[in-house]
Amino acid sequence: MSINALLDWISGEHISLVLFFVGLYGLTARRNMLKSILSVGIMQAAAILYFLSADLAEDSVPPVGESVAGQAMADPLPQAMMITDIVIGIGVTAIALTLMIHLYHRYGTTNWQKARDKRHE
Amino acid sequence: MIRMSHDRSLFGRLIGLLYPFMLLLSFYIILNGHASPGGGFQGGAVLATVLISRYLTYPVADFRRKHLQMAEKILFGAILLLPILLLFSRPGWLIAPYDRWYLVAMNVLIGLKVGTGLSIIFYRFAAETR
Amino acid sequence: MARWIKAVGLALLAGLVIWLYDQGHVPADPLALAQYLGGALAETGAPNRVAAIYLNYRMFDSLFETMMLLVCVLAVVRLSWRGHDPDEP
Repeated sequence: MSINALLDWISGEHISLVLFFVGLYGLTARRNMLKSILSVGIMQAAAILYFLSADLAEDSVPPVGESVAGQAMADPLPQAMMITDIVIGIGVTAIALTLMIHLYHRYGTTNWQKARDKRHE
Repeated sequence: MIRMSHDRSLFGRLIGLLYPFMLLLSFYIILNGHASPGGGFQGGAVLATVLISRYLTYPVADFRRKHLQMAEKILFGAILLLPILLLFSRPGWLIAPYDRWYLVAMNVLIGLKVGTGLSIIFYRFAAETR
Repeated sequence: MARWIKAVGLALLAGLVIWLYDQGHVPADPLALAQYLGGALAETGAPNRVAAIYLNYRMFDSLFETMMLLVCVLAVVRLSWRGHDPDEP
């Protein structure tokens, strides 16, 4: 694989798919609650990157302004949807951190396994 | 309000100098959201950094968080009511529903609401971990 | 050791998904794109098409998004540690 083929392979879609699986690995292989929340954040960033970069033409211009009519413009619909995604991500992260503080004060640990063991004692 | 006392660090003074510019940037992003990249959500996030940086340099929550919560609820009611009022009002009565001023008003309301919401979340976490 | 097995399995799964993704290309429906790009400036008066979508064409999206942020703030305030509010006397 030459360096140009590698640089062509690195596109937004491929990077977002790789990032999604990195987040999934962090979610399955780690038992720290904070790392789980970080992994969910990484997966959400991957979803945002995928929706922004999928089906994007090479020479398209941003859909902003009055003088761009007639040129190939990027699709504004996923961009408007991703604002919703970012705000939902903020909400999910904030509530997850609140619950993590709650669990830490109750069980004294941030490990999923230890918290489960203490609950079953 | 910029307070320049002698016992504050260089970082605190710098943040105190930067308050007006942060407010200016956030309102620029909000008010030009209909015509340039930006909008209510993005400008609201910048607006929240004003209160967050104020906490970082002056870590006392000396204002009541309940006022911010009440402000957020009132702003959400306004966001809910403005499109409904414009939809059911006589055309051309206040402002036409499909107008630039409608976009500017909605961007301002959404920006203030997002800014107050993020500030409440940050101050809540800061008060919990203190 | 189980961590390495998970890592290798997820890497293989990622390779499979990327390979499947590269096999075909399904473009988006150009109908909505043409409407949003063509009529946004005349219909809503917004040169920023993204603002035209989230403030005019899909207002409910914005409404429920702000409502979700409000519910999230209320949840963060109410679900905090032992219900103790340090701001209240």
